[in-house]
Amino acid sequence: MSTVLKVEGLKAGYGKSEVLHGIDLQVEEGQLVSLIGSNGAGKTTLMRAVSGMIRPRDGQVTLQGKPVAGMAASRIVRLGLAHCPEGRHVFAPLSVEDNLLLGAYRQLPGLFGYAKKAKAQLDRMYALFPRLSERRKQLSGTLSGGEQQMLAIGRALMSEPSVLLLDEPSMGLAPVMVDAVFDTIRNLKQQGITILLVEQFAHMALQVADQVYVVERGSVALSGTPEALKQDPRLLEAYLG
Amino acid sequence: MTMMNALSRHLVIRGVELLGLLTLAVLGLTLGHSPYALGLLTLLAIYAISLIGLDATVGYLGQVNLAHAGFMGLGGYAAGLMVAHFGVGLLPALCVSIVIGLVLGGLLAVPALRLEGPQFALATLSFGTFAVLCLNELESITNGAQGLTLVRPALLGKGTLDALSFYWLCLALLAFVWLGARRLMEGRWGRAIAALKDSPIATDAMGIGALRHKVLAFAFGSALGAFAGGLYAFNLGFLQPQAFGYELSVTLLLGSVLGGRKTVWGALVGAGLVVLLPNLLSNRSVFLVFAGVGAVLAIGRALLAASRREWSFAILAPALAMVLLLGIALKTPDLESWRKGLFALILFAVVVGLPDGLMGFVSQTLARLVRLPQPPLPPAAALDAVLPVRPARGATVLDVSGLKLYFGGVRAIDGVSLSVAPGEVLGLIGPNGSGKSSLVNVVTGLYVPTEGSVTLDGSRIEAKGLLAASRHGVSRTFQNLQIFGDLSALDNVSVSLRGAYRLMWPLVAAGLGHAEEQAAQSHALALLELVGLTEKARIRARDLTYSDQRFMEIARALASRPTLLVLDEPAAGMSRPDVAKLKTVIARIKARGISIILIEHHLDVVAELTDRVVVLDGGKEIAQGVAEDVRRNPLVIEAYLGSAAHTEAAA
Amino acid sequence: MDFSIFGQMAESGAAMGMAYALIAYGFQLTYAPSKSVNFGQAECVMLSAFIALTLIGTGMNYALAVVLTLLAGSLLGMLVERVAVRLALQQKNEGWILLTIIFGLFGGSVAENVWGRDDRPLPTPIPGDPIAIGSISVTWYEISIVVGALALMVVIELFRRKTLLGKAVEAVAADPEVAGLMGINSNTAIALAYALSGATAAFAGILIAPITTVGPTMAAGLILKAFSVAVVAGLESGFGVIVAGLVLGMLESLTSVYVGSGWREAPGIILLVAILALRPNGLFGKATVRKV
Repeated sequence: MSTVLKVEGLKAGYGKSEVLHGIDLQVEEGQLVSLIGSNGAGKTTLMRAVSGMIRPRDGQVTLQGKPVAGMAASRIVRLGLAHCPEGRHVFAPLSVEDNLLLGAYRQLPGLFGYAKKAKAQLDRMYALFPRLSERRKQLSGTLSGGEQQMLAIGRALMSEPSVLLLDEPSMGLAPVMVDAVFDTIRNLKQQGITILLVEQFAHMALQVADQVYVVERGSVALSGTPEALKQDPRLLEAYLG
Repeated sequence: MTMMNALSRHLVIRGVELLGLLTLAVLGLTLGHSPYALGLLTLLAIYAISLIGLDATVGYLGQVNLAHAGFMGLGGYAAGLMVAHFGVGLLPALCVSIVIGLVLGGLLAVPALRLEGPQFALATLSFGTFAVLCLNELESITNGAQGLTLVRPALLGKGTLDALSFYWLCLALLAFVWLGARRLMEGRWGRAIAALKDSPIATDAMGIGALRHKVLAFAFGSALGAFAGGLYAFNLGFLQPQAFGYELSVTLLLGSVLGGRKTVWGALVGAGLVVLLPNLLSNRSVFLVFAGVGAVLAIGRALLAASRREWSFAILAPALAMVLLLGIALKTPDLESWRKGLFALILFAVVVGLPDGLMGFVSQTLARLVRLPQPPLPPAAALDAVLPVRPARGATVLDVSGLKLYFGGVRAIDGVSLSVAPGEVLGLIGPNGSGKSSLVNVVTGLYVPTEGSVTLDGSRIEAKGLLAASRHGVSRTFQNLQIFGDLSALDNVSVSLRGAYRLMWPLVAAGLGHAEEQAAQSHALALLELVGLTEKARIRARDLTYSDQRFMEIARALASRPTLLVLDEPAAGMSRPDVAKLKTVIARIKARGISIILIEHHLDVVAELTDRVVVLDGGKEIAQGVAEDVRRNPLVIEAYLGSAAHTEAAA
Repeated sequence: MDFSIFGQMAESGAAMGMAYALIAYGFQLTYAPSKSVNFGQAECVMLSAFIALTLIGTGMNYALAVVLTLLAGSLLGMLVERVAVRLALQQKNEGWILLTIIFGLFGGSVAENVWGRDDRPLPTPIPGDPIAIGSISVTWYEISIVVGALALMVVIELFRRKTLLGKAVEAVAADPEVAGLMGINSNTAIALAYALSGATAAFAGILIAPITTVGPTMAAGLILKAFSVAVVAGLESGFGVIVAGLVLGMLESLTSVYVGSGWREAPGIILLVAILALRPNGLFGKATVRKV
């Protein structure tokens, strides 16, 4: 099993504030690693620093052996990382199918023939997300929250990434949809996809993860397997202080 | 010795200004015999006045104003027609120009200044074009495209004024406008305008009023433009609508940018360049020398950057532009034919390479080379004078009742009622999306609630905007800092003081604002002392550390003497010692009888800082009480960690 | 009121209005992904028309000259983006307004010096004689403006909707950060938008040249008229610019006859200011939802 993603001593922040004070973690191939912690702990900042949406101030990020810290997001993504951002962010004025196609933007021809080339991948996504299959031409801005989440995940998967970053997929969703999303996540895990998952709700994350990191105030406060953490009283402390 | 130091900075700056004006006076005396040179000098003074006015919107508000030439035209025609039809003297005619500029400027400003960037530019472009169009078409009044010939009347009517006397008049008026504008801009008006450029949201939230100041700045600038237009009319003796079109607006704009923003010196330098450039072009060798020097400087800077491997467009492009400039100048025998192009290249180099204009660059370089001490600050006022203890009036200060906020399909607040007692610190916590920010945004006036009421000290305060809420007595800090970055910590606080600046602006312009300014500084220092930032009063807010910026925001929020203070995640990103300091500051604010709502994430911080806590989840209140109890509440744990029962069922 | 004069003026005004609509459409193309427009677009129209003049003057096939001019216009657009817009977008300020004005100033100077200040006619295979429709005479030039403008807008719209590149530009317009996560470089997308915008300016120049002749006066006032159309319709209104263009073109023409030729620009200006004051998103624009 190789290490797909490795983060060492990562520091990052916005403007004058430093949000991450040196994070270490790693994700092995086929694993689902989860980052949990209360709001403002720095989980989303960490995801953004890894995918290149913000520039790290210090430390290193290694993707499949290649150092990527400091590269622009559009470059890191080409090296096999996909980031499904917090809040879904589907391209609202574009259709479901267009969103999916753009997920594979780098692998498809820009002018003509892209639909044909993407057909196999599209079919796979539609099989994974039947709700989306029914709504291929619908404007993605009109989908429900849960459907948008499915679309965002599907879009991220279109590029067949070596690691998928999922940022708070359950946020703002009704409990039924949260279940559906986590079913999908379990499914993806079964298919062997490597996932780094950020979740606010510890219980959900502990259900699906192989390895868990608890982030508090910009540092890793705890880490371990879900079984070990479930027994640890420090978990509650990290959340509620 | 200290007295000397204090005076020295003041004297140096005033001395330089006096020198500048004296130079112009001397030039007038020596060149006064040549009507051409005299006309040019007079034009220089006139353009300088116009650019001082333009600086209000371009330099201070940072907008592209394409109406200024139109205002000059309107002012010119107003004065000209007054003289031509009513035979008034020069001074009354100029007063009419000023009034026209103020009134029309104010009228245009109100709709235009709600617009941003390109739309504002378009609105001003439209106004300018329309003004010229009307001047052109209303031939019966203005004589249209054929133009209006004018005689220069004496100051008060009888007789005419000769060119030299007119020059002295323009110089005197320039000095007058210069001093007045500088005093206004260095005082509270200039600060308010700088503040609204940095954060219009905070400007409203602190009770200063963003739109109000924008309108005043624009009206003031337009009045000066119209005034300059009046002088322009009598300098030339001839008025034509076409002279005040797009080309002139662009020339003025570019002169302002070239000279430098937020500086009256910049207006003079810009005016000089605009007036002298055409003449410079006719003397080829002189121009080549200037162009050569400019090119060498720009290329030198680029090479320096290249040696440090700092490739950036802002350094390379100006160098290329200057090379192109030199190339064109060398290859063309008749520089005048390339006037627009050469001007454009110089401007490009300055706009990209020296964003603060020539004077901005000069003053920054001088500031680095020569350190002049600032005059000392007055002693801090007693806190009682600045923030008197609030007597408790009734059992509750804030009453929120049945509040609902729905937007789109989202129920941000779904029926919340709470109250805050006088001098109480109420913590407001909850996970992401629980409605804390929405609640606070309703209380501070940003959102209109769908249902329910918010009552402060007995009066209803739902949303008529941030400014209204501030006037009612609500003040706040921001989760994402909204500091006035370009102002010092002291100025951030002083500009927000309520009722500190009562003097009318003409008196301030006349130089009588000093006592008021000292008092305001004294009050502001008292507030900075409360948050422990006394030594950092003079530091630019942008340059403070993150924690200090947070504390400064608190001091600033107190400047309006609020009844209720909302602190939005004040401890975010703070170290333990700073959180301890925050605790002390909050205790001091509490002692003044001010009620506080504090939004926080971390329960340990909330426990130390609050008297009582309300927990929100999904827009509803799920728990209330002392922090210790709330922490153990199973509903609260579930809200933060996710439902245990829920996930067990799903497994 | 003599209907034939009214009709004639309305018709010729509407034809010019389609040209304004084409330029306004070009503004929308750059506004969507970058919230910026080229304030020097009028000079770009003029420069492209001069380039067309030179190319046709070499004796080459007219259609080929048109294609090459469109290419030149696109390159000009990309130059504007690289030189005058990109820096301001990176600094997240509105410096592009001033910089594109400066670019236009320089462009105008180049045109004056390379081609001179005289107005020159553009040789065109389109016949100049008018055809009569009822009591109104329509020239082929006017027909070519309407047909040409519509044709180019349709072609560009097809590009935007049917090609992956077009969808990528729209993605950048919707969410530039997340578009970056798909590997879409927003600078490239914006440059592409400016290239297309430059092509619309070039084509507009070729279409109106037979009527206005090629010269410094062709660009006079053009910028404000095209802006009026763009703002009145709304900068995100798509084909709403066609309606606004036709209406404003007609108003301009009719005003010049019935009120006075000096007042022709007045209706456009008044409408522009009214829309900016009352409905800043334009008549056909989408209302913005304020999110804090």
